[in-house]
Amino acid sequence: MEKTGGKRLAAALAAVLLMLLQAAPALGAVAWGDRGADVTKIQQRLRQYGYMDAPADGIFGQATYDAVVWFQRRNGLKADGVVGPATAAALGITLTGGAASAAASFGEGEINILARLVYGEARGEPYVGKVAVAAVVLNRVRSAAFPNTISGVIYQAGAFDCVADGQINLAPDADSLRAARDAMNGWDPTGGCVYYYNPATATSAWIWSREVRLVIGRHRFAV
Amino acid sequence: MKRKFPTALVALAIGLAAVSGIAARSLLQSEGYRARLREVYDGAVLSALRQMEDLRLALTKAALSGDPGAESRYLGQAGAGAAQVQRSLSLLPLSHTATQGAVKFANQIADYTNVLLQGREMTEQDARRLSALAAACQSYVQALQGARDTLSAQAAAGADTFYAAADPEAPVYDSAVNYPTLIYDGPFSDAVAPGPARGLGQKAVSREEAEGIARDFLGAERVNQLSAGPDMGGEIPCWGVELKTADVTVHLAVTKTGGKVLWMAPDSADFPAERSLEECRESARTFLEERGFEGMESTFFQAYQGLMVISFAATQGNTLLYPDQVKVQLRMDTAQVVGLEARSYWQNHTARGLLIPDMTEAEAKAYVSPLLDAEEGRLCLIPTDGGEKLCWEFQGSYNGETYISYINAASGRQEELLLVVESETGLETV
Repeated sequence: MEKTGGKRLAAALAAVLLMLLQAAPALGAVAWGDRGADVTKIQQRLRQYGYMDAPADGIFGQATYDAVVWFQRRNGLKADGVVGPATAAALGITLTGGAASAAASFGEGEINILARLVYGEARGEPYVGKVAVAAVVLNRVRSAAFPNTISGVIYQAGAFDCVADGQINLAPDADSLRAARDAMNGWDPTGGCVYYYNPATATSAWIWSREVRLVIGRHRFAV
Repeated sequence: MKRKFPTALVALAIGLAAVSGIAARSLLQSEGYRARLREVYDGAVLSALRQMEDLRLALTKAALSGDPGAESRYLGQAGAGAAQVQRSLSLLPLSHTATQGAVKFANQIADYTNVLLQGREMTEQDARRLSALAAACQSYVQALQGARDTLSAQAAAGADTFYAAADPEAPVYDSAVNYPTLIYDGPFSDAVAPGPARGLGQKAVSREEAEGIARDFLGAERVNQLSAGPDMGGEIPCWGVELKTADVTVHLAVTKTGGKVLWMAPDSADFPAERSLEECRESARTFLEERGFEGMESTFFQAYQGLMVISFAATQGNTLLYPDQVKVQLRMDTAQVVGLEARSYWQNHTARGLLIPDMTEAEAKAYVSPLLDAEEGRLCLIPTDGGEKLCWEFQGSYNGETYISYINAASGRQEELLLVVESETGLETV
């Protein structure tokens, strides 16, 4: 009687342990026990940069774990031995296996709406013109005269044509996304402008009275 | 012969009925949207009105309280009230030119109450200023009451306020309302501009010189073709230069005073990610040293679309100077530099006087929260509203997350507490 009970308990414990082990790494991350092409990529990089001597056999074991921890420590990342999106970015690889990373990073929603605005407003403009449009939004956020969040500025009544006509709901292309990221990182070709207009289509006399600081493509940027 | 019942007529009748059915349905739907929007607008006007009244009250009480504890409470209410007013105003169907005055007013009140809450003792001048702000609130209250009345009148008259916001010159209510402008000078007033750029020097630079500077900056051997780009006016006027390399065009802005590269950006990216963070960091460091940026230390990084973006801060002795910041973009296939952002550096970089802290690392560490389990400290200069402060920087962790605490090296107050976030693209602080 006890024997079966004991076996049952052991089996239950083993099942729980297995579940815990499998649940440990976040979606899209590579950790101890994983196998496959992603692991091989990671191992090859670690060998290339001198963190690991063992062969790149595609099995994430002790040697790989130690190398990952060493790499993470050297680069200011959380040294937990798990290769998530940030560690992968630092290694210079993209993880292909598994679903896209589950946790949205801080402020990703705002980058997305900013990229969509750039795509809607400056689709045919040169790249620097796209960064300039994104920078105008951020300059407005910083200014006391406009709303204090990116979404507040973008959705302000009558502020942007592409919001009014729905183009803001189109998926942004890679250039628009990069322009949004660059602007968030501080690139500002306009030097602080908070307005821009297309002289061919702007009808308001008021906007023409603003001081123009920069002209890129079809847009004049002004304060 | 049996007369054919005009099937065409029947078909037409059915068609008409169907079309009118569809039209009626969409009309009802748009009426529904219109009504819902009216609810939002009416709600927003009433909220803005009430919040402006509450704000006036909180400011008046803060000015006349005389008790520091109660003052803080009222100031906190005023700050929160100002933020709410600003949000309600942004819901109104008005162009930004119509609400700009009021939004700016609200934001500046929020800033001002924040400054007062940071422990600065309220003087009599502050009290008078708060009363003046409260009086200004009263003018806004009256303007908003006018707006509410106009909106109701328009609704009663059947006028369509739905599309009013699209026209920037037709605010819903009388734009001749005289918004009182607040004239004062403080850290939150208009008068505070960043000031002249400290790192640029005085030398005036011509377009030809700027083009030469741009070519040398990127590396003359990489440049196949050079052309003029758009010039930028403003506080730091620049010459625009476009450089074509083998496979990517790079845009630069060279300052007209000083001939420094303010920023540089590549036209295209999506390079294959083959190099590591460390290789890129080394390449960036070498690049910066060769171009006269000495003693730069890397702080944070991001990687996206085949570009590695690394932040660097200048150092003076062992002290990290965060205001003097440069960001470098490198292509991840060759680790060559293709982008740069140096506005903060040129705005702020200058030799500071002796940066000597008033307290030792151990003394400063005592001010860090025990929950954070702080590691070794480091002296650094951080940018604050309108200035710089010398601080001890401590990294610590709590609940598996990394935090950085900045303790003022003179007063021991915590100037800033940042959370280090690992995002999809790299490390960031918030």
